[in-house]
Amino acid sequence: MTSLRVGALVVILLFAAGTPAILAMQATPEPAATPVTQPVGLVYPPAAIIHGATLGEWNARYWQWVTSLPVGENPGQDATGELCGYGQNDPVFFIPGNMPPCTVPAGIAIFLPVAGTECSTLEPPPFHGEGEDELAACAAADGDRYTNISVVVNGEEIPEVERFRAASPAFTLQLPEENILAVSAETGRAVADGYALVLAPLPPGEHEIVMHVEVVDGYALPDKTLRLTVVKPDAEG
Amino acid sequence: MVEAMIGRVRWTTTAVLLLLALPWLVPVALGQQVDAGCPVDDADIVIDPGHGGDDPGAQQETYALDEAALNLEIAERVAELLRDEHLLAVALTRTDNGTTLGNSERGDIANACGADLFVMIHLNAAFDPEQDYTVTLWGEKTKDLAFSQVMLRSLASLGIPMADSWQFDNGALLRARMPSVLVEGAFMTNEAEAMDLANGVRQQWIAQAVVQGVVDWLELTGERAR
Repeated sequence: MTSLRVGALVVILLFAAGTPAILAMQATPEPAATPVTQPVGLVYPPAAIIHGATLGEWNARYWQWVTSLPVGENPGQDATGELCGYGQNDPVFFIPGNMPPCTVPAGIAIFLPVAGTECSTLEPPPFHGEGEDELAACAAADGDRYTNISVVVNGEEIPEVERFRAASPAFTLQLPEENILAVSAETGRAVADGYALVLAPLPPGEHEIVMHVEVVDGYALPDKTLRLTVVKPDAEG
Repeated sequence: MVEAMIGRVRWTTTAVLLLLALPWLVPVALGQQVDAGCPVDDADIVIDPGHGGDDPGAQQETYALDEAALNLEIAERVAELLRDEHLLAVALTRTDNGTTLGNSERGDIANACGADLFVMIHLNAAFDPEQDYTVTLWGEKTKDLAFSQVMLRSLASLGIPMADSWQFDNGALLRARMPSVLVEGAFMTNEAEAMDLANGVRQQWIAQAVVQGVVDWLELTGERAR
């Protein structure tokens, strides 16, 4: 009988001794996944932190950039590509949506807007929203239109481009007079959504990027071909 | 009632636009890239008369109106006004009614010209002969929306209701890299419009309104960079 009690006590003590260790194991948080900050192959992964910002945040910055320049000096309306560098101060170079032939400094990442839009408190429908939820739903409705997207960089296809859906957080849109959205020069809130890539810096030379997008209604948009010239900074005119 | 009318107008327009787009959906779906050249060296503006060749566009039987031919007539008047009164170099994507062009090809011509603006000329059609309004269509928001709005305002001179400026996934609008607009000037199926088109007077009004839209845009942007 006594040996039974001693045995039970030993088991309890052993269990009690192990409990803190078990609790400690359970309490120890999983080591946080280190965010990817470097490109993998041709492109930064969708969840990467690129120069301190997510893909969605870069999508917001793209729209802030492209809407900040008035008509007549907006790179998104210039077919020649001469205006590509206007207003570009970020460590990521924005390509205008009309895909003009741009000259890009070497060693800099490249933001490629493939398909999508923004909605704001400043625009009329169908790009209007009030509050973040409405804005996000409005922008997402456009992002939802697209499917079967492919991006080919110098003959090499980026795998699974549909991973690169880039919904932005709400951001401030500050529009100049004669802005490209054809609304009053005011400051408002916006949300962007759609598909966009941040490409790794390309080596100096000529590059060709071909984008293919289809609409879920069952037709393809015309392919866009972007020709980039990457130059070393001292070779930039 | 108003909402129902707007819904009907939009439905009709959508149906017409889809019908208009059908001939080009197949080549666009196949992703064909056309090696188009520019018919005029250093053209500032490219005017695209809609339809043509195998695709006559809408037809109005009472007055024997053919949309492709009317589009060309209006486009030629636009080109003449821009050349003579504003000294601009203008290219037409087609200069006869026998030429068939796909939508992407039309945009490629505008790109080959390195033009500053691309204007597509169309007339609208509906089963309802009362239907009449003017509308402009744009492809890509950052590139086209503002120009499309300026063009719509200039079309107010036509004296008919103005619908709005709507997005349209048209291959030419999306392919062209410069500000681009598709103008649906008026409804050729409307009795009054049909009479004026048959008499040859409406074409000039539409042409003048389009020219004003181009000039307004150039004035808006002309003093800026470049």
